[in-house]
Amino acid sequence: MTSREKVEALLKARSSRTSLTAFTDSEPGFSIEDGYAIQNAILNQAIQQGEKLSGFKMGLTSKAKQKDVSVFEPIRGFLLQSMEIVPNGVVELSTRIRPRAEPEIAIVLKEDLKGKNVMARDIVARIYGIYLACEIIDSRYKDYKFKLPDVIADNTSASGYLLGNVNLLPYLEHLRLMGITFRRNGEIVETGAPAGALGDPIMSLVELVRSLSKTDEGLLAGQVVLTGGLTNSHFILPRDVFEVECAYDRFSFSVKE
Amino acid sequence: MENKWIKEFSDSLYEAEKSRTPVKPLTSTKTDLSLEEAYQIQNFNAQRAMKQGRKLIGYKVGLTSKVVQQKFGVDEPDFGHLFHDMLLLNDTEVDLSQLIQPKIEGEVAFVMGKDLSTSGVTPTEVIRAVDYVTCSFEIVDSRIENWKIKGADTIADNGSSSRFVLSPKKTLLSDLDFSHVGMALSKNGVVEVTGSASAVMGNPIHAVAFVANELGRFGKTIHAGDVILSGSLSGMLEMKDSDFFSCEMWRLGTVNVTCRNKGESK
Repeated sequence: MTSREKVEALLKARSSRTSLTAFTDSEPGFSIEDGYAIQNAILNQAIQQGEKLSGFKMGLTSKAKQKDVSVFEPIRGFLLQSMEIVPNGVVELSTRIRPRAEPEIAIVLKEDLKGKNVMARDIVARIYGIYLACEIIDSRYKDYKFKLPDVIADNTSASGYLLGNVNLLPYLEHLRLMGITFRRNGEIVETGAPAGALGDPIMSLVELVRSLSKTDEGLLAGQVVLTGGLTNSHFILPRDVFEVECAYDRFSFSVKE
Repeated sequence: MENKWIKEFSDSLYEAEKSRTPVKPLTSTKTDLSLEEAYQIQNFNAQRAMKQGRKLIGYKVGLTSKVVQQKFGVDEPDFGHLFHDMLLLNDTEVDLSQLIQPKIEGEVAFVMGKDLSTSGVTPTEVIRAVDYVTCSFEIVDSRIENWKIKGADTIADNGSSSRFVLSPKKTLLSDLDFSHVGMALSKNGVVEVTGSASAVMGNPIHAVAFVANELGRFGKTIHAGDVILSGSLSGMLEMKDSDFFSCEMWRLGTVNVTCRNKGESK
């Protein structure tokens, strides 16, 4: 399969809601670099069609997930403005295949930042806002069965995201150990803490800015960064109501066929 | 008045711990072992410990999350006895050669300021009776081969309890809402698992009320000064020689422990 065909296959999987088998099944040589090339082609096509890049998401930020795939650095995907869902809104299943949800922390900068030597303090000095968030993922591969290059090509399963309304920046010193409770239909299904994202969600931005700098890109003021899942993800089903809560914010979303 | 096999099972678990040689699951020997019978075995060994001069200093609550209960085929938490020689000092070493197959987990510990009733204990009564709360490690260690335990096995085996560590930080309950107390458990400086205290029955206070009411059924009471380990906030980690573990909790302090294999035995 050529790169162009892979891009088309992923886009068609999304629009027709039919999943693919992983590229690495038939092409074991398909690499992480190849995966990012496909991801970039999908982003460029979206932008040509009038979509707007709204930020980035980090994946493989927890020790448990890194162990699962034996890769010990995070991966990244892109976010589009059309993926954002308002808090307490509705997640539509009609445009998705088999979506799952997981709580995260989102961070927005107030100044652009680039550079391969960026440090956490450079990030902290430029934070505009920190938000409780929930990511909706939806693999375009059957049953979420993929290897690392596949999931990178598939934009790290990105599908949607919600941000809470409260800016948690005043509570920065409490961020790492701010307990997160994730409920489905009123029942607690997962708990976690932001320290689960590379020890501190700020480190997720360090990794992102450093990785963008490899292609002379940077993080722009106002872009949203999802810093990585803090609990296991859960399938979302019709009529489910999910709620994400921390000490200073909470929001929910419902799921519609 | 105990059945002969209650004493036999008690003896085999006692010997297993002493010799650090695990035994087959009790539920594989006696498939219909009930939870009540399992508590009789636990109590038999608790009595033995006290006769030997070990001081009872509190209780642990386990199986507090729905997921873990489902895994062990039970529908409510369990408890075990804590003795003074199970308490390790913070920032010290745990000698793995004294243990069989230890695992570590982070929990909220309660230190009681007043006695609790023996029945009808409500969260309100618990809140009024708590002296302070703090961050703790529980080191669990099954005396059953390869942790092949069902609910009755771990209950008979004193909730698989082995050692625990308390943070020296004293936090008053006053305005603390446990649902927002986050925890990060690190191994060798890297965060391995996180959780929130809401994972423990929605609120760890519920676990203390639960154990107080359970103990009442056995004619026991939680006393002022007792320590209650209220249940794990997340998954447990295996412990290997030279591993350094750290557990941080929002407002409740930090505990650290280093693993050392000090002996040839085991």
